Amino acid sequence: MNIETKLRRAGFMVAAGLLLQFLSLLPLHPLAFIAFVGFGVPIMLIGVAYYVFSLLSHTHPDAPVSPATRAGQS
Amino acid sequence: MQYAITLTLIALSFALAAFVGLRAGISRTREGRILSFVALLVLPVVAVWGGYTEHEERASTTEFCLQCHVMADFGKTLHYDDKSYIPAVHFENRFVPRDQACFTCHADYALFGGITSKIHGLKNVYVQYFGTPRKPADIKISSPFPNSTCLHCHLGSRAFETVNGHHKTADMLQKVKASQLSCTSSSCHDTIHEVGDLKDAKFWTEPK
Repeated sequence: MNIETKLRRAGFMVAAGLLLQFLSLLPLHPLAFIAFVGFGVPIMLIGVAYYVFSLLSHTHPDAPVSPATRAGQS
Repeated sequence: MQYAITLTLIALSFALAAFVGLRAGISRTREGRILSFVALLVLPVVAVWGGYTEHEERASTTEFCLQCHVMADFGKTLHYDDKSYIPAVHFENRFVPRDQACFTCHADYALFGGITSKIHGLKNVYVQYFGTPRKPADIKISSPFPNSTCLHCHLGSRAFETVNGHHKTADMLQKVKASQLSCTSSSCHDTIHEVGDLKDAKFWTEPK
């Protein structure tokens, strides 16, 4: 899976979490707090974690190849 | 004002995250990668912090606490026209802020007191919506009311230190300060909400 697909997924997850957080702030109700803590924040954090993971696991095409990788390729 | 800023921040974060989701191709450029970083990491973290602060603030309001049906009667007890009821005398005389009347006395003032109180409150919300709430008259405080909550405001005040009732014995005040003698359960200030008294009670109404 390429980085753009991962970014797209992360973007949608973060956006979904933020939308829930936004909606939870409109009414003054105990269940709104539950929606924020139980759904909005976790969904957003999963999206953020997915984004960070995709950055860490992504290898730039121009990145130098390590000797071990080069040996494996030959 | 803070509410409007928080809503705007979350809306902006949402718009940027959605934009990155729709245009993931922007990550091919350096500027696009910076925008992705801001939209998917920096802004959401700031937004969630702002949102939590706002929710914590709102969850401390009297209006919020009284949203649960079983708490409505406890809210009425704040208006008893009788000085012997501790919550009423605090509420009516503005010894506690009226918009945070419940939280002022039912919060732990330790380092993580606010968070501890919210976690405890979550259990109450769970029982309200997913369990079987007890009748208001059957609801009792879950742990003995700590003297530290009373002393948070009263300690050092002239009335508290000098009133005759606090000097019935030589060491009475010291015992209260050391939590060896409870303020609320030593036959001293033990008339609290008493929701069972509501049906025969007279209520105080604030003059307009």
